[in-house]
Amino acid sequence: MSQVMAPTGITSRDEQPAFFEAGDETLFGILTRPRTEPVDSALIMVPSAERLGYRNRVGVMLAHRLAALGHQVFRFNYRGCGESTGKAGRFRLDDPFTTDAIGATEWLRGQGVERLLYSGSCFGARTALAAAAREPATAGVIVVAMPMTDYASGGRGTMRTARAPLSSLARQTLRRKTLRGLRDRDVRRIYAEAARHKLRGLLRRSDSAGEAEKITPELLRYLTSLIERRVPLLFIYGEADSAYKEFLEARGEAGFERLLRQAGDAVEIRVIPGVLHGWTSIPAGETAVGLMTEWVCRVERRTRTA
Amino acid sequence: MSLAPRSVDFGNDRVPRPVFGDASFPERARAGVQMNANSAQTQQPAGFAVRSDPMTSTREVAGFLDAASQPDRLFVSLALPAAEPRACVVISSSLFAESARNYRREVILARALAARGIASLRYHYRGTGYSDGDPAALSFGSMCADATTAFAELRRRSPGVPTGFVGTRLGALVAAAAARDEPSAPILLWDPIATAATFFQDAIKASRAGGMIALRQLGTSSAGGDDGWAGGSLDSVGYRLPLGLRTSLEGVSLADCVGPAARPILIVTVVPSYEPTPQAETAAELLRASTASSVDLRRIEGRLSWWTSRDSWDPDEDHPATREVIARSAEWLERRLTGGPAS
Repeated sequence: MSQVMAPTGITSRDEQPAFFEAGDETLFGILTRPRTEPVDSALIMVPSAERLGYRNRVGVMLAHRLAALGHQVFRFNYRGCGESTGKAGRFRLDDPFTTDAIGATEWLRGQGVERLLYSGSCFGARTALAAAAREPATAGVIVVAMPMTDYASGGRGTMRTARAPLSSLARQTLRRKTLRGLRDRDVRRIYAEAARHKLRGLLRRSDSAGEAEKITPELLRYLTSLIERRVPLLFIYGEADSAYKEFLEARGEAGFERLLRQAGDAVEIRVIPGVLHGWTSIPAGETAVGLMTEWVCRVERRTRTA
Repeated sequence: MSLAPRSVDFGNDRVPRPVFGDASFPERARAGVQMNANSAQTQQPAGFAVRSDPMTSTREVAGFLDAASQPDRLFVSLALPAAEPRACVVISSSLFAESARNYRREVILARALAARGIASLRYHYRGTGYSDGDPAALSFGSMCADATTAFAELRRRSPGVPTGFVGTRLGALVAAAAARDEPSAPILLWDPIATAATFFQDAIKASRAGGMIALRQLGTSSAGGDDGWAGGSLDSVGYRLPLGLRTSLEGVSLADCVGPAARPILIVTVVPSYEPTPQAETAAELLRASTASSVDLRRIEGRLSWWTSRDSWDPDEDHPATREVIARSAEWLERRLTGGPAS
């Protein structure tokens, strides 16, 4: 058993389930407390677009591990997910569930939490950053496999399809399997999205100014705001994540690279082997949990010493 | 050889009488409901979260359930009508990716039942989800013991009312086993599998598909050697399945779990129209052949992927197949448990 997966001694007896308000909805969350003296900070684990946030109890694992080391952790379900009320709608990177993360922040403030750390993966990373940028008491942010551009959940595949030449797409369209897919509502939607991406690509090509952006302006704004405030940031990617490729491309942009240089040691970038996106690899997930735990401990130690 | 659930060795997993950690809690929760505009309860007793919904006159209690003989607590979620329940239902989910995939549908079903005056209890098996417990110790025996714990708690809270059981995929086996002590109780099964072999085959397929994607990306693979069970567990799309779970389910069949008693059973399956014989249909035929139960099969047009991520990101509530599954299921349970809608 890896060190990360090893029992921590923390159990549900150290946890407080809660319903709390976020916008018009009532969300569900669980606060994990350390057994040591009360602390005035907490890590908010913002869920990804997985319906329950994290696979294979990664959330529980991280919360218990940090609590065993004296930290407080809050994990919650988005609206329309898990035990929360409401409807999640379609997860879109350009429309993070900031209201939900702010609701969690407010509930924690009511529990006496004064400093907030945020973590999130993929869609959750974008939501965590959006909430952290708005929150004056942000003490640190961890973003895992964070995409740098905007697309809807599942949209990356359609974007890839749309890059194929028109002749190839025409051939694909006439295949029996493709035509059979038209009977399925979800598949029809995927086809329509691929067509939209293709059309957009063709229009962009005819417009010389239409160079695709490498980093979403909104994301750049959030990062700029946090870096200017000297908020510690940890980026974690799997080296096989397509989001990591996007990250490297974004670093090719002068503005983003300058921002990272300006941040100095406030920003850490860690790359681990394999695929981390979606937490589909247990070894990669365990490594990431280890890095997150170590980083939170270090940032908190520094803050408490200061 | 089939292993009937009665012969499963529950060992220390059998629990006599589970109670909430705070014994006075149910009473306090009943008495102390304070609602804000958004239906959340502002006063929450330690260890539990309570939410009331004035729109549907229902209440939800989520927290950790103590079982007297064991240290590990179960995460449970009760959906309750504001008035005394007319019936109660235990909902047993599947595991891992299948559980995550179906989670919201089970929440929606529980809420729909509460609105019809039927209490329900959902739970996370020990070693999974928010529950305590060692993930490596997960077995069919421990899952059945958790169902027994859940059922005992529901019975304690709703004594004397008719009981029903709901199970999805692998959870169908657990639900059927838990229902054995209630010979006439109706059982509702969503996409049940005849044996656990299907569950593990799907997990292995997903593991291999995940491995192929990883290989395509950087020469890494999440799939193990041979059939993927090297090292005493199978890693599949981010979930670790213990070998002990597979061993504990060897020889267990849905028909054996249901047993010979005559009872109403409804099987609901979501499949595309071009699928000639869905797995649920096979399960229904096996049950018809081996039990005296009346088994109805309702086939709903749609497509669910249990282990892979291809799925619609429409809100579950709005998905036509989900809406139909919930409506048919709630309607059937209400009719079977209470004779029909309350006047």
